[in-house]
Amino acid sequence: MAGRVGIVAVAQTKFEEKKLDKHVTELMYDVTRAVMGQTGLEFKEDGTGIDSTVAAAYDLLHGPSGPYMFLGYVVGAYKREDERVLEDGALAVYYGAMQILSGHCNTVLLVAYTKESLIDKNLYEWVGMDQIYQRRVGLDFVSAAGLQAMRYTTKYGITPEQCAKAVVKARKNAGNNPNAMCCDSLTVDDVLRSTMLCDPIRVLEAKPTPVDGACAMILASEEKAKEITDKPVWITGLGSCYDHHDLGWRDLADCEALATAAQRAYKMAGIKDPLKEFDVAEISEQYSYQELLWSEGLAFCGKGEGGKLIDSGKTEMGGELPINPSGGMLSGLPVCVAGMDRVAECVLQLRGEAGARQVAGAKKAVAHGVDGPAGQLQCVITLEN
Amino acid sequence: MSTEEKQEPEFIQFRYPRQVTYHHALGYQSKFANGLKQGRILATKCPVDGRCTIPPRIVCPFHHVRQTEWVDQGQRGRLISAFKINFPMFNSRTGELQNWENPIIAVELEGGARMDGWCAEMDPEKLKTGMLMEAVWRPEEERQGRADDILYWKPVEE
Amino acid sequence: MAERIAIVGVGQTHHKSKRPDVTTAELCAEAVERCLEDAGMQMKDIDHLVMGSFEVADGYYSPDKWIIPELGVVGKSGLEMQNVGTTGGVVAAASFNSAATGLFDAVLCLAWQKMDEAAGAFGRGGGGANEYWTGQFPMSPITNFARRTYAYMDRSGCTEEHIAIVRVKQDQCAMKNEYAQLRLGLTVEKVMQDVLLAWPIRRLHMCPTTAGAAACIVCPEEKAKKVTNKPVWVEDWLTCHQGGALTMAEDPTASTLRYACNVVYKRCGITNPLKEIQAWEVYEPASPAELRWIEEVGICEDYTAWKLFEQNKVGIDKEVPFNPSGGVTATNPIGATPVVRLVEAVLQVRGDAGEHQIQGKIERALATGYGGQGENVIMLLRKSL
Repeated sequence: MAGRVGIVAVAQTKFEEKKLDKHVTELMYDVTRAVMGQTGLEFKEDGTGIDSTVAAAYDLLHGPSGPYMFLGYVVGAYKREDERVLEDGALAVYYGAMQILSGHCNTVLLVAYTKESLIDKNLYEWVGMDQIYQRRVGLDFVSAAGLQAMRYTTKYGITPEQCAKAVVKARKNAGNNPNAMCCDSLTVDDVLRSTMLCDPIRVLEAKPTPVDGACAMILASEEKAKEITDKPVWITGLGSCYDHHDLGWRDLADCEALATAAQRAYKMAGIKDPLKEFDVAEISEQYSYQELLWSEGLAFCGKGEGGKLIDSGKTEMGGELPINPSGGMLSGLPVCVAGMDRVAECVLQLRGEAGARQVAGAKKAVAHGVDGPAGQLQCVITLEN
Repeated sequence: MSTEEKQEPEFIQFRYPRQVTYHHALGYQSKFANGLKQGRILATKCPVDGRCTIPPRIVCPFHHVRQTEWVDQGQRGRLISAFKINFPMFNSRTGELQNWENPIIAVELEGGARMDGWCAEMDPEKLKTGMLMEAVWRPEEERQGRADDILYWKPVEE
Repeated sequence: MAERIAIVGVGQTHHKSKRPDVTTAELCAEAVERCLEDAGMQMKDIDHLVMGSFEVADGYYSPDKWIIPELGVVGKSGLEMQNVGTTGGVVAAASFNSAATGLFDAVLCLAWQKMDEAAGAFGRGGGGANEYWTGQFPMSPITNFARRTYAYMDRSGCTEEHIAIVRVKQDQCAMKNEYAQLRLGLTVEKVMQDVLLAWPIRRLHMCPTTAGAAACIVCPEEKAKKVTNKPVWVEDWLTCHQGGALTMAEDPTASTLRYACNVVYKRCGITNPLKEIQAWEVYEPASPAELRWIEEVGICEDYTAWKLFEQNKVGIDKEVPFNPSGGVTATNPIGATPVVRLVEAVLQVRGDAGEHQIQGKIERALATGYGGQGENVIMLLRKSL
C-alpha cells in the first residue's frame, strides 16, 4: 500500500539572468546529482533505487524539435520509467505523487528546468494563445495579465500601491535567499515610477526575464521515505483545475479555477481555515497583482480583499501567514521551474532548513503553481512535516 | 427553405513570418565545438567502461557518472552504415530546403566513438561495412563548431 | 489507496491525411464524444483529464489550454504531457497512474495530432532531434529506419520482397478497419516498385502523416464495474525510454522493447508470450520494424520473423495475430498513435473489433507506443481480473 507521499530531498540552482557558461544538461545534472547525493539513491534496475523520473520542461523553449527526448539520459531516463509533464513544475509534483499513490512506483525523481535565455519568452507565450481568435489580436500572456489586472483592480478598488507592495516584499524577502536573482531594496515609489509595461502592469511589477535555472526533488512512498530520511515532508493535499481559455468567458477579477483547485487540496488535507492553519505559503505570482488575486483564490482572505490582506501585514515575514519568504517569481524565477521551486521552498521551510528566510516552527505549508494565460491552469499542493 | 445546407469547410490562413533564433549556450560541449574548429574530433569518455561517445554527454547514460575526460578520436574511422536520401530536407547551416547528393554514413573512429557524417563516395553500392574512411575538413576560417565542419569522409586505400 | 483499474470506454476518429473540416479542438471532441458514448457516460462524470500531442509538429505551444474549453472540461482537474513519439503512451500511462490512485472516479485519456495546419514552422518535418548533433543532419524517422532495416537485412536472410510482403499484410488488415487511414489494396509488386526514399525504405513502407485523435476512459475497480459489464482491466504498464543514450550511429538496432516487455512479463508471470497474449497492437513506424518487433516481444527467435511472413503465419486469423488493425503504417497521428494502439487492443479484448476482430477468447492484449530512437511504452490489458 502506498500510504502517504513524502518528499525526501530537494535541490535548486542559483537563479540567474543568463547562465551562458552552462548547457541545459548541466543544469539538469547539477540538481539531479544533488538530490541523489542527499538520499544516496542511484538509478537501479532492481527496485532499490530511483524507480521513475517525471520531468517538467517546455520543448519549444529549448529547440523546435522535441529536445527533452534526447536530454532525458541526464535524469536517468535510460531504460527507466520516464514521463514529461508539459506544464509548470507544480503539475509535475502533482503527477509524480500520483505515480506513488497508484502503487506503481516507490521513488520518483522530479526535475524541472528552463533556460529563458535561449529564446524570447513572449514569443512562445503568444503562440500559446488559440490561433484563430486571440493570437490574431496579438494577445499574449503579458497582455492577458494586463487585462486581468485592470479588471481585478477596477472591480474591487485595489490600488496601485497595494500591488506594488507585493514587489517590495518579494525583493526584500529575496535578500534572505542565496538562490534568488533580484534582491534589490525597492520602495513602492520605485515600483510605481518604473516604465509602464502593459497597463496597469509596470516593468518592476512583472517577473524579471530571462531567468535560467533548474529544480529537482525526490518523492517516496511513506515506508521508503522513513527509511531514506528522518525529516520527510508529507504531501497532504493535491488539487488542480482548468479555467476558460478565452478571456471573455471569465470574469477576470475572480480566479474560480484557483478556488476550486485549492478546495480540492484543502479537502484532502482537512484544511478549513488556510490563513490560520498554514504557517507559510509559496505561491507563483508572475505579476504583482497576482499575489493579491491568488491570495483570494487560496482563501487566505475573501473575494476582493487581496489589497486589504497585503495592507494588514499578515503576509509579511513575521506575520500570520508569510507569503513567499523566498522572494517568489517577482524576484526572478524561470517559468516551468517556478512551480516545482515553490514546493521545494516549502519543503525547506518544513525541514527547518530555510536559513535566513526560515519561518520559525513551520508545520504546514501550501505551494501553488500556475500555467496558461491569466492563470488558466491552477495547481495547489499542501504539505506538512 | 433548403432542407440541407451544405457547409463548405472554411479556411483561414495566417502568415507569421518570423525569425526564431535560439541562443544555445554550449557549456561543457564548447570543448567539442572548439575541437571541431581546430580540426579535432573530441569525445567524452566513461570512467567506468571507457566507452567514448559523440555527441558528448555530461554523464554516461548507462552508469550515470560524470564524464570529464575527453579523448581525441583521431581522423580516421571504419564505415558502419550508410544511407542516401532521395527527398529534400533542411540544411541546418543555411535554413534552406535542399536535395542531398552525398550519402550520410556512420563511422567508428579510432578512439571508439561513433559519429555521423557525409560521404564523399556518391555511389552507395561502392560502400562496404568496415571500409577505412578519413575526415576531410572545411577550410579553418569557415568552421563554426558545427557537424558539417567535417565536409565529408572519403575512402582511404589500405 | 492503490486501485485496480479498467478501461470502460474508447473512441477514435476516422483517421485521414487531412481534416480541413474541423479545428484541432473539434477533432478531439469527436474522439471524446465517441468515447463517452461507448462508455455510456457524460462529460460531467469525468473528473480528471490527461491529454497530450506532439504539439511541436503542429506548430503549437501548450495546446491543452485552448482545447480544454471546447471539450466542456472547464472546472475539472488535469494536465498535459508530451514525449515526442511516445506521447500517447505517456498520456496513457499517466491516466493509468491517476486512476489507480483512487482520487478520481473517471479519468479521460486523450491524445491527438492535427498535422495539417502548420507549415512545418516549428517542427522540422522530421520531428524529434538532438539540437546539438543529429538535428544538424538531414535525418528523420525515414533515415532511422533505413539504417535499422539495413542492419536487419544484413544479419538475417530478409530481402526487399519480404518487406513488401509485410506491407501487404498490414494493408490487408487495414482494409478491414474502417478507422484506418491508408486502405490501398496493395500487392507485393506495387510495393516493390514504389518511390525509393532512402534504401531500402520506400514511401509505402513508412507511416503516413495523419490527422486523428483517440480517447479512452479509465476508472478504478468499483466504478468500472458499475459503468460497464465489459471492463478491460489494465494489468500492467511501463514507460521505458532511452533519453538520448544512443544515437542511430552508435547503435542502429537500439530499442528498449525487449527489455520493457521482459520486465512486464516477469511482473505478470508471463512465460510464453505468444500463448498467453492473444492480441498484439505494437507500434511499428515502418513495415520492416514489424519484423524486428515481433522478435523483440518474444514471439520468435531473433532475425527469423521474416520467415513467418514467408510462411503466411502472420495476420488477423493466423498463428501470429500481430497488428490486426493495420498498425501504424496505415495510420499515424503521431501524438495519438499509442492511444490508437490501446483503443484497438481494448476492442480486441471486448470482441468489438468488427471485421478485423481476432477470433477466439482474448484474455490478454498488448499495446505499445514507440518513439525516438527505440523508446517504448508497454500497456498490458486483461479480460478478467
